[in-house]
Amino acid sequence: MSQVRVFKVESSLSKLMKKPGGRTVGEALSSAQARVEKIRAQSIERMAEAAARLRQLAVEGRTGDCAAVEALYAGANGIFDLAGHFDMRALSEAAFSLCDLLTAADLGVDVDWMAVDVHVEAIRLLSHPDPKVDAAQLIAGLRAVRARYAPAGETPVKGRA
Amino acid sequence: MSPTSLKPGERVNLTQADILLVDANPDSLRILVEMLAGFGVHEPHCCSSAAEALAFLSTRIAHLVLIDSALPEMDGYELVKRLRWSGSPELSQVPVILLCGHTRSSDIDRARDCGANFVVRKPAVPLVLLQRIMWVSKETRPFVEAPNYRGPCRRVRALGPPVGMKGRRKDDLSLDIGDAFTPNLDQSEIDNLFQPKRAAL
Repeated sequence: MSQVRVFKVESSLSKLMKKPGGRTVGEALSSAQARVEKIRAQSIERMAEAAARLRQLAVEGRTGDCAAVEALYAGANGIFDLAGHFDMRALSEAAFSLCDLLTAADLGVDVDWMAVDVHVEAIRLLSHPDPKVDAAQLIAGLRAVRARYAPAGETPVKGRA
Repeated sequence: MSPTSLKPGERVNLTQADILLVDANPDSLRILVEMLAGFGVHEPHCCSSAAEALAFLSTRIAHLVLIDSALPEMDGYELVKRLRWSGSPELSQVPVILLCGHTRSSDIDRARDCGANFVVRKPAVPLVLLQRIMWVSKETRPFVEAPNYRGPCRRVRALGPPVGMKGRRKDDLSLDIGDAFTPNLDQSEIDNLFQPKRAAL
């Protein structure tokens, strides 16, 4: 017979956090935000470098190199995260959309490498610290490409909180 | 979720907390380190792979582990599962927050079933991350060890949603009543509760 145990656990974190001292929630949040803001310029520079690497990975990926496809997916996923921290919404959406395209195989659809190229180029343009493109127009174009994989009414697969 | 569910004046003490961060992306790791430093954490430990994290945890105890789901080789879901099934109480019950960026449709069930205390969608902004850390520290859910699942109980219906979070169901009520700040009953009233009395019928 299978055994199921259900019991209460008090974590050591809970005991530590009950100790006097520390800082207020307000102080903690503003300090965290300020520290993240301090590395904005450096992070944006790193994102631009990551975006530039995507182009070469796309070239290797279309030849059937699975490691390159995985690296392309990981690169886009990383850009999605970083761009979100610095409120670069267009770049974040483009990177997320590329991740969706690359996982199309999970939904039984072949990866469309021309669509991937369009996304990689858009990410490269949007990752520039001062993009010289109409981000709204670019994103509208990517959404149209993306819509081929998620027909109207169907929500694209997204990370869940 | 309302941002007001965190009270700005409430204190958070993470100065002595040993926190392990596991993320293969050095830039994401850097942002998490800065955020935690802002919360008052002294030098969190960083690992870039599941193997490195397991090696670290075999020699040190962490009070909290933050794991990115997209790790190379052994991914974050598998790492949480490995911790939960490790057999050591310190490791199997360690609080875990799983961070997810883009999630493959095939991984959504794995995120739910791996045994993490909370799953946070990236980008994990300071407000959300601090709130989840505080929820973890005030965890009221019992821990479950079953043949196919180990981790905090996934049924929130009995306990209600976490404090400050609006439930998904119409009848969801949080059972949190807060910490007592005055005695509710004086000592004589408490004593009376323990003294059996003849019932007058």
